[in-house]
Amino acid sequence: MDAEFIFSLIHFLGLLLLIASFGIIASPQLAACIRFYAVHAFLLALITGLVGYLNHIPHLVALALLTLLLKTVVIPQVFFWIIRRLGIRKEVESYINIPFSLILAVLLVFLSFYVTEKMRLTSIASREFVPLAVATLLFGMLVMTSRKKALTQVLGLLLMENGLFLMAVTLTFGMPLLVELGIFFDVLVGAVIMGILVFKIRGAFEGIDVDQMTVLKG
Amino acid sequence: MKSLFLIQIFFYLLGGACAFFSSRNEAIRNAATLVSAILAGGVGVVYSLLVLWTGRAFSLEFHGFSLFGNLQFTVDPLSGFFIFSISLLSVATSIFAIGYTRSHPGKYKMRLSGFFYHLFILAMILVVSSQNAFYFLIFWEVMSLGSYVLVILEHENPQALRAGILYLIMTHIGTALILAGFLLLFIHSGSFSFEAFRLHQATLPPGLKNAIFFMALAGFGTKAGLIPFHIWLPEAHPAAPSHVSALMSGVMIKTAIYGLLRFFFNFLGEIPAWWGPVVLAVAMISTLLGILYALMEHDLKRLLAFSSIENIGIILLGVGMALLFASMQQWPLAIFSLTAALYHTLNHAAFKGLLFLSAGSVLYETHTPDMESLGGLIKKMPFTAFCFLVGAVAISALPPLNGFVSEWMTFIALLAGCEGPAAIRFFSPILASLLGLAGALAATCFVKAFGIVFLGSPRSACVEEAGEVPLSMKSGMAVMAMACFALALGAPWIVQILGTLSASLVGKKLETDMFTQTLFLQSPSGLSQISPTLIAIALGSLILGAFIGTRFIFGKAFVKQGPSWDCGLPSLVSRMQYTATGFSKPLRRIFSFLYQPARRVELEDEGHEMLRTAERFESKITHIFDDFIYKPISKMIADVSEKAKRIQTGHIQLYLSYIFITLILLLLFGIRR
Amino acid sequence: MKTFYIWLAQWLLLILLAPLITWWMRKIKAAFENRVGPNPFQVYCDLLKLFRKEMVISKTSSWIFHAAPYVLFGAILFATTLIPVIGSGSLLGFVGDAILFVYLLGLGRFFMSLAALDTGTTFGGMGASREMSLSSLAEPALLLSFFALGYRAHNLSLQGIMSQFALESPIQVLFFTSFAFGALLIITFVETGRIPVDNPATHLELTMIHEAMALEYSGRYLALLEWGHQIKQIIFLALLANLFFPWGLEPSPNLFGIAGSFLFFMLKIFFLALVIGWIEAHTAKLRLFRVPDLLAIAFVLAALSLLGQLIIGR
Repeated sequence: MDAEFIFSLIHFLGLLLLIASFGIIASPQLAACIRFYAVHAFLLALITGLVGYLNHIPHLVALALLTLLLKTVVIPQVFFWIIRRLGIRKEVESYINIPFSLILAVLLVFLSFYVTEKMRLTSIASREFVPLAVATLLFGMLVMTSRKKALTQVLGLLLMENGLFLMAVTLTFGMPLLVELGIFFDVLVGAVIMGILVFKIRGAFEGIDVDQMTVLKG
Repeated sequence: MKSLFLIQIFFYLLGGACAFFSSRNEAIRNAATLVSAILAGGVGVVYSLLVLWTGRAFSLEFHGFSLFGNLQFTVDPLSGFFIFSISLLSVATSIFAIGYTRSHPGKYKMRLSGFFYHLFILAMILVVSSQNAFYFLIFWEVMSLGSYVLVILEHENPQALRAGILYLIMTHIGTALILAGFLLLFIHSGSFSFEAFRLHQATLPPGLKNAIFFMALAGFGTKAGLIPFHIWLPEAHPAAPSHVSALMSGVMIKTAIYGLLRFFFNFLGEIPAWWGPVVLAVAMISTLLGILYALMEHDLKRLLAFSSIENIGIILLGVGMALLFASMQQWPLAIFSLTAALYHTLNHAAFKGLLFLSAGSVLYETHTPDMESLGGLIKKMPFTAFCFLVGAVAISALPPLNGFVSEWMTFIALLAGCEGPAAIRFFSPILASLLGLAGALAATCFVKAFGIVFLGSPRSACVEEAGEVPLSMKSGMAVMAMACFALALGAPWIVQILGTLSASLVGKKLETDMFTQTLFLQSPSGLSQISPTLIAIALGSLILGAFIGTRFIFGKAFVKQGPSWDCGLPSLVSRMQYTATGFSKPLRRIFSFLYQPARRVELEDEGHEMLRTAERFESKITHIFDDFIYKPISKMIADVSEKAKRIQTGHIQLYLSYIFITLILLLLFGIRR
Repeated sequence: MKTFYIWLAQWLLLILLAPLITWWMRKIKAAFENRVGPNPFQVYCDLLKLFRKEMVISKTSSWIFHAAPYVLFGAILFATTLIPVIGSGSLLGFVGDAILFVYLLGLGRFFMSLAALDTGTTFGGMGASREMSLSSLAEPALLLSFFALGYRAHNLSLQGIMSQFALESPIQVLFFTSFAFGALLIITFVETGRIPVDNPATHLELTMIHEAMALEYSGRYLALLEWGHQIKQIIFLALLANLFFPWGLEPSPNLFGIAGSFLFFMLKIFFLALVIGWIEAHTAKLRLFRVPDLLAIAFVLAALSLLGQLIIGR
């Protein structure tokens, strides 16, 4: 495969990544949200792998495989397991309705594009991805701030992490392998801890709606 | 041409005088008054067309009142354009008024209304031709007060009085801001004449310039009904007699556009890059909210008033793009955007005038503007229905009428922003699509207006007594309906003229054939082209072709008359039809975050829910600007005045001592200086 | 002159083949539901029958009711002339652009809704109200997807966009237009009244939109409305086919070239109809007030198509 084609392919995958992020915001079902996250991670793995292949960096390819395993398989399964165990209602509950959060998301994409355009990045890698990465980060924040369930907040956090990962991969061909592994481990542990927390929240409040935590204030 | 200008003024004065002096016979006096208004309008159309055609300005100067500079009038192409709109619409409204005012002798205190009607039109003409800020403001004030009197003509009605007070307050806030803007310009240039402003515009310091920009935008915005300064408009326009509403919506609010154009392009020198986006944002808000509120109205004239807010927004979208392109030095695009704005100004005068006149005819026959009690009027008043339909198609920006052409130009002006810097590149197509949303909502709004008022079966007894209006009212509407067609079919020539005018306004020269090519309009960036003339011909022939084709192939249709499908019920009554409120229900739900609708249902029954005796349903929406901005402000003012009452004791001595103390303080202040 | 004949022929073909697509979609749906489905001539026969049948017209109605079918049909015929089918031009493509296309459809809808209100029934009002509300949300998304495509092509006429895309490499076109394709696909469902939005085969009062408006029509007028609706359907399919897969548009001027390019076009739209039929057979109808969510997605997709072009160059 020639480099030109792979480059176009990476761009196309970038757009699909954006669609997947939008999917997370647009889907009214929790399960669909998680599946979109899996797709997001899958695309991320593909991009990482292709960047690694294109620039002959073996540890990126390894990272890609790790991402594929951990984020597209393990973490979604953990989520599904939690949902099954807790019998959580299937709908995503949100403070703002879906059309409005979608339009907000478009504005966020534009914002990330606008601020990164001013940065004048001179990177060897695909700097077009910086706005996409920032957008993914902002989407994660949007999900965390606008959704009610603790589970969706974890999802938002993971989305943010994906954004950071994308930035690292496309801007500087990833961080040193050791750091990456550490982050992966953190994410996994984070997901598990959050899972346990969710259990505890439910135990205390008879539900995982974090809205109820407002009664905790003095 | 100078003499024609004077003749026009003379006719207006004559008409105003006629209202007071001539014979005892009401009808003859009224006709004489209005005929002189028609003549004046005709003269105005002639000389303004001449000015537009030749592009040569003329001016008149009167010496003797030189305290604030000479009283000077100049009719340059821009003034000529506005005089043309005012004169054209006033011809139609005056013809219409012959019949419209006749039916209510006594009620419409004819003397008063006749006099102020003339004063009002004359003041508008003088506002757009005056060349001195001082006299501009005087005429501006005369225009406002003249229209105020016409708004409160039905002063027995407390609602009209309330509308009048609101109008008076808002228009004076606006005038105060304009006055402040002019005073700042006066401080800088040392003279009240526009010529001096123009000469000194290059040396305006940026801070002063921005202050004047905001004052002009807010001041003229109040007159134009720009959101959030719009609250008087939906109250005042419906309260006036319909031919005056047509003038107020059709041309009076456009004098504010004239003022804005003069300020932006003649007085303020170089344009900073951020003015355009500010104007665009305000304009887009007005466009969308205007039409969204219009959709929820079921008072026909209030609906039209809200739709005027939308159209002012569309006009200012063009102006905003013109400012943006002017700041980028992209002159052809700036001229194109300005042309779009001016074209829409003219078009809006035509179709909104037409719609208000038709609504006036409905009001004249049925005595109610409430859509919920109308219906089926197309059979009683076919001509009025046709005219309203023409206006509705035009205002919904549907081809082949004139609204489509100017909205297309505004679309192209917005899309031309794709050549600009990043933020504009993204937002201009988005704005364009939002303009599309406004256009589609306008179509929905006017399907509702036409469908509920004219179609279906009558919803109340007041429709049964209605008949077609007299000839004079018909001719008034016919003039504007023909104008709608003419403005669409003659688009290339009109754009040519308006293009030249816009070019002269920004101080550039338009290359011929830049926007037009024989029958085609084209964008200067080569993005697109349309031919309104050919579209009208093609559409007409295809529709006719479909008719003749089916007739030719399948012969004459067999038609049987029957009742509408009644679902097997005993009979279909008119109350089963969709109402105006019901029609807009889906959008009320979809945009519920904006409307915050509240509904109240009251049921009364005799012990069992099946034995229902009465049912009352009330649904209303929140006007966010009224409730969240104006009500708190007016409450605050009321509170402050309550506090201030304490110094009001009623003792004359105390008041005198206030004056005394003030005098002493002033003296001391004077000495210190 | 020769190209003129080609353009005239493609226009007429589009009009005449519209019922065939309707047949194809019905056949697909039937196949998914394990039914046999109609034969291709059924749709034509239906139309022919309707054209000859007697009309029953409501006493409440006025001339608007008589004019609306012709205005709708004429406006749709006009919209059809703007679309290149084979060859990079179209019959009247030079008089207007994508905006005109959108507003022509709007004109037809305007008169159709008026006609629905004209008979004074609840159904008519209901259909008109729903149709106007939904399409006023669909219109900005439709316009924005045209603007996004026009942004890339530097042209806003449909034929200009298509011939511009035909020159570029396929993968480039796909990259930048995939979002807009999604948007236009959703709009196609809304505008042609297919299942997630409206069900063309039902007369259940709670769900119908388009059928509610046409309820009072019979005979010749109904035939015009139905045919117009079918043409609208084929227009949208042709748009999807030729805007996003704009290949084979420039046939060599001999008979084989033209025939080949025409067959290729038919292949494209039959495939797209298959996709739409598949989606229709596999989704449930949305609640009326969920449709705005779908339209918001279409709008967002169109906006993303624009943003994508801004971010990853032109």
